[in-house]
Amino acid sequence: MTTPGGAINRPTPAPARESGKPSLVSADLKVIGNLHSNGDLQVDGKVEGDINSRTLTIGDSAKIEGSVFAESIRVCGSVNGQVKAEKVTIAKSARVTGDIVYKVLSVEEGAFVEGHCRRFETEKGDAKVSTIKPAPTNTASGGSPVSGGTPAPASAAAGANPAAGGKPVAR
Amino acid sequence: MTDIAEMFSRARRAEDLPHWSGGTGARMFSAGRVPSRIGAGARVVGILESDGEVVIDGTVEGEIVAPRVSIGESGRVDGSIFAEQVYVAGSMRGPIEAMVVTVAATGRVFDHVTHNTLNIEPGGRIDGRRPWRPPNFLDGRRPWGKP
Repeated sequence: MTTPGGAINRPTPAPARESGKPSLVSADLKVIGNLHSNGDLQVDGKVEGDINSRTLTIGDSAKIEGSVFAESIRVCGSVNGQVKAEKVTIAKSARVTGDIVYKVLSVEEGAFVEGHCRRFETEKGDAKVSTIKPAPTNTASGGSPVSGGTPAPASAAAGANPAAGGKPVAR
Repeated sequence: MTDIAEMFSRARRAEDLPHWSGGTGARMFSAGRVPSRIGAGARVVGILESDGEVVIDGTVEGEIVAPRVSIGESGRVDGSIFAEQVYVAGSMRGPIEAMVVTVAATGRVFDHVTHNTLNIEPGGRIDGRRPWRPPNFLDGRRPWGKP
């Protein structure tokens, strides 16, 4: 995997720890729906939906219609929705329409920000607040069915076996 | 013919395949561009539309429409794929419609594969019908446009 790894080798806010390579929504990709990642994510394309990641970089060409949550977010592109992270960095090329919820905030001169900026505190006893919801356990492992994924084959199997209708079939 | 067998046994990645960089003309879609990647820890629920290449190492529940789609060994797609070229080394639950479909030795497809050219490496599995279509069967239906 040398070729794509080298090609994606662009500045990210932090090195990927858990999942190896960072995820990337490049400029020619449009995502309609929600995106979850427990690693790093860079968005250069369009996303219509919410994003939940460990670290998130929103590139210059990005256009996001939805909320973004992460431990740390760097915004260089356009976001229409809430931005929530422990560390929020807004570059001068950014265009944010929506509230920003942060613990550490940095806004570069020239950035477009329309919305409220609010600081959230770490809850008592918690060492840190993770904005990442508990990760869905059904990852790439083949066994666990994903929501709504498997009923079709099950019913197809039942339909293919006419004896299954009335009496229990011993297998 | 042993050359071909060797060629496929060495093709561990989509870009190793002889047709992947040329062949049916998908090169122009990704020339000089960075492929989008859904990493191993990432999950997308929804639609992915691209004019370039999409690499899935994580999970996608939904539809993928792109000239080139590559599902890595850890990748898993529950949905459909409409593409020019598809490479499956992971798990694909749902129909594929593409000009060139390649199923790697680790690849598993649990639904129909509508194709013009189909490559299955030894060990690759397709659990569904594999209807052949003429070379022009995608004409007029490519959302990424014909160059």
